[in-house]
Amino acid sequence: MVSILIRACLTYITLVVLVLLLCNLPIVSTSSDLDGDVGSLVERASELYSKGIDISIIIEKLNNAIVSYEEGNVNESSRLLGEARGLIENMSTIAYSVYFSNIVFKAIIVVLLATIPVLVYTLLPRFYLYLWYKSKKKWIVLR
Amino acid sequence: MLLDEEVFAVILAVSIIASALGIALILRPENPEPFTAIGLLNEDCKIGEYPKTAWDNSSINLCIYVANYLGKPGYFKVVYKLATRETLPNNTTPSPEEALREWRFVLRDKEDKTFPISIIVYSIRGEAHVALVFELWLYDYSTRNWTYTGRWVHLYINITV
Repeated sequence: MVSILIRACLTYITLVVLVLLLCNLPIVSTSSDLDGDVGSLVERASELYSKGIDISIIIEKLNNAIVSYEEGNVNESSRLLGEARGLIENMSTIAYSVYFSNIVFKAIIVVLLATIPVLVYTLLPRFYLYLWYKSKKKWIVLR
Repeated sequence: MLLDEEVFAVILAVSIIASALGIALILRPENPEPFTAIGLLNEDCKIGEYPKTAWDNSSINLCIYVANYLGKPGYFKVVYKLATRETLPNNTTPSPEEALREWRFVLRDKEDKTFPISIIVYSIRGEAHVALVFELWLYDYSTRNWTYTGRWVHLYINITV
């Protein structure tokens, strides 16, 4: 009698645990999945774009994925999203070096532009004089 | 003729202004006024000559133009609704009418897209004068939800029963 009671209690506890586990499983929705996936990939592509990387190919893949999804071709859509994700991963590795080189290039241009007035102030009179003397070096002074 | 002092001063001033302008152009913000745009075009994807009447439950062809100048790529959707004068959207609130169709796409920064559409029109709540409403929505990454951009276009059309 006692063993039957224990067995019943164990079965009940097992059932309760199973129900609790099932309740904790993530609910997979299909309609908002695409928006969430595309949205997060666009966000990551946006970060790459802010670092000066060309993301045209990623945007093209995402648009193709959306079209495939709307046509009911979910597998093709998932494949394209995976490709876009892979491209983002690859581009992320070079993002900082591209960003750094862009910053350096900008800094060099700014420094060059800032030195123009200084160069004009120091070199223009000398250069003008040099040209002036050169153009008149064959002149003969008569008394 | 040696270099005149006044001429030299003018040349120096021009070089200073050119230098300052060049630096300002390089260091200026990429997109000081971010915005999005939506436009409604006729079936030839041109402005004007829009349909004025349509049979009940018939389809009409139009074109939609969307532009992204947010300074970053965006995930957009255009939502088609049939509305009346009382249920038109405004700059802050979308139309309360149900969405009949959606078109989703991703646009790069400074990119626009024009695409043809074929939509069904019918009389709603017995109204013969209905508005075809196209709202522009943008996916918000932080809330992971669609947000209304406040941009919409509409076209009034008479439904012939």
